[in-house]
Amino acid sequence: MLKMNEVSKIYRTDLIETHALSNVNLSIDEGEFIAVTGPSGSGKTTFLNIAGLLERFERGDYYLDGENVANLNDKKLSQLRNEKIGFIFQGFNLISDLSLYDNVEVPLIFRGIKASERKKRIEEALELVGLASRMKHYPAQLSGGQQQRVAIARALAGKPRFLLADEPTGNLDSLMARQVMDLLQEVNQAGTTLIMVTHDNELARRAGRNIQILDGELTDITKSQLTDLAV
Amino acid sequence: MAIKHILSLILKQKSIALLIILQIAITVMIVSNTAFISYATLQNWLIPSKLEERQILNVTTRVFDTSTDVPALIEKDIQAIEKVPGVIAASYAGRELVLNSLGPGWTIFKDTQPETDYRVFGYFGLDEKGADVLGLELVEGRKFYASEYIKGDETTKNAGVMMISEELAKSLFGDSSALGQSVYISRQRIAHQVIGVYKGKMLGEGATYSQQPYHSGIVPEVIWGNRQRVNYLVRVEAGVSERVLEDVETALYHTDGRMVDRVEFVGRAKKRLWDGRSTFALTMAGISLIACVVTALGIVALVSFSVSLRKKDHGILRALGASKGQVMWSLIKENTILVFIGLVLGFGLSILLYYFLMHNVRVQSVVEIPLLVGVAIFTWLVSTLAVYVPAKEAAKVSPAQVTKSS
Ligand SMILES: Nc1ncnc2c1ncn2[C@@H]1O[C@H](COP(=O)(O)OP(=O)(O)O)[C@@H](O)[C@H]1O
Ligand SMILES: [Mg+2]
Repeated sequence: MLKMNEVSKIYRTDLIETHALSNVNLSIDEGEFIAVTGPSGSGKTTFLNIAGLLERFERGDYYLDGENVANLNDKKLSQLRNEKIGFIFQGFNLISDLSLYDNVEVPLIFRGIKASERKKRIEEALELVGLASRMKHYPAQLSGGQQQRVAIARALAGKPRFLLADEPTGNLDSLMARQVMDLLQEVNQAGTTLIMVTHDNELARRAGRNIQILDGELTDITKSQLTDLAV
Repeated sequence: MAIKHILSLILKQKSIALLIILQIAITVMIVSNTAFISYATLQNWLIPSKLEERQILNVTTRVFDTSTDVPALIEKDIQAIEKVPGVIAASYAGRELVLNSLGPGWTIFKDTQPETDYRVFGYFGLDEKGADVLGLELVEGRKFYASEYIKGDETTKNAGVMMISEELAKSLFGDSSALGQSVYISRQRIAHQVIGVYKGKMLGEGATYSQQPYHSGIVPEVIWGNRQRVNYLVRVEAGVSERVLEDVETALYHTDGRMVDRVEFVGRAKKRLWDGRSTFALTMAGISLIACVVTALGIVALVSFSVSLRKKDHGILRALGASKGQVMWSLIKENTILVFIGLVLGFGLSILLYYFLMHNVRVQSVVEIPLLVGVAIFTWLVSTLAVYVPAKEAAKVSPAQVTKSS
């Protein structure tokens, strides 16, 4: 359902060219849980951004559910992002001036879902992450772990096929990290494809498949290789 | 984004929102009063004089030599004017046509009962040729008989007969004929019998020189009194050149003891009547333009600032699947809410300014709902154009920036 052929991404500034991704070939099946590891600056975020249609790429083809996204316009890309992909970021990225309820609601409005259906989905999603009782609260009133759970609820309310998480536990202490990880794993077991970038080998071991990026090059690795290469 | 989300965001930036609302309210106040005043001025402009504005001249002169034989002067002047090429006829006029100003005593009644309503009224004394010079068309009755004209110095006599306009006749007597009825001029109720009714002529009907429309009547009187003014009405051929004005002035110029103040088409006199007011309307239009530019720039600056503070939020919206258009649209909606609040406030201020101008500056102005609707649409358009610039910037925020900055 996700297939990349020879995808490359180059950042050009006045002084240098950075080959953030080189000739990525990858195929991911529905329902997989993939952990992406690799040293800092190796291209993990770039890979996730491209997979999540947040950034364009220079070369190659990328098929999402059989559709080549290389030449789609902004409107179509936004729509695919909204409908098929759920994001979870290291920095949570909640809108601080909106309540938890409203934060979860925003992407549903962009999709044009009816008010009654929105209400049902928001309540279900916040219930799932254990924050239903606090939906009138604002992000600043919550702990980091709770904020990340709201972000997960926001991603899940859209019923995405893919969940993309960029170091979702990077800003959390280990207890909260484990709780968030448990939640993500539950979601994956319920059928959602999960691609997660992480520094944490212990968390990476929970994945069904491990991928490593080194200098923009992507390789499948076994669990035993994790300890040796992680930075 | 739904309205409630936008409201939440507005409430977090109260001071920016308040500044935008205030700017819009003040602009609306100025622009709507400009519209009111311009509209009232235009309405005045469009009142038909029902005169051949380029075929009738107003001639005003002043006799400063008190020993002048006025009747002889008038006779000589009329002969001289009628010799000018292009002139058809000249007649003595007791008062200036069009520019005649009304005093508080200018009223007409239909009886002598103390409680009767009056009509605001201006009347003109003309000689035998006056009716033709004006091009009067009788609807009912007759013209004056030669024997009815009274001429002379200050006189306590009055002709006792008059012609009134069709509108005045309707206003006083409704559907029944005004012919043979008595009408009473001014508070002294000087009786005149109506012998003719003419089809609306002269600016009188509906003209609002002192903020009040007035009716007109004509009496067969050539009374120069002890006033120094000796005025004429002149009918000229259609399409005559402007030179006729100079020629008439030259014809009168040589008489000693008298000066010629003005020779002009009544169309020019009519224009002058409204000049002052259109100047006011133009001044207001200028202020409006400045207000709109200042507000538009203010909105550009304030919204740019507000957008720069919310750059991260816009990136999040993009990452969550908002298209560029949706991000722009959410900012335009936000602005529309502010415009709406500003409009409500602005309309309140508009009415206050309207009453202030009416009572303190005595301008002519009129509150019209369609004008307010127009101002509302105009304000929204201007502010939306202004928001468009920073909104476009906001939409350029890369959705990837939310993953790069954690
Ligand atoms: N917008 C950008 N402009 C220029 N270079 C960039 C940009 N984003 C990332 N890079 C570079 O691309 C490389 C990969 O970055 P990134 O994908 O963020 O790495 P990781 O997430 O693995 O730490 C790095 O060298 C980084 O400096
Ligand atoms: Mg990264």
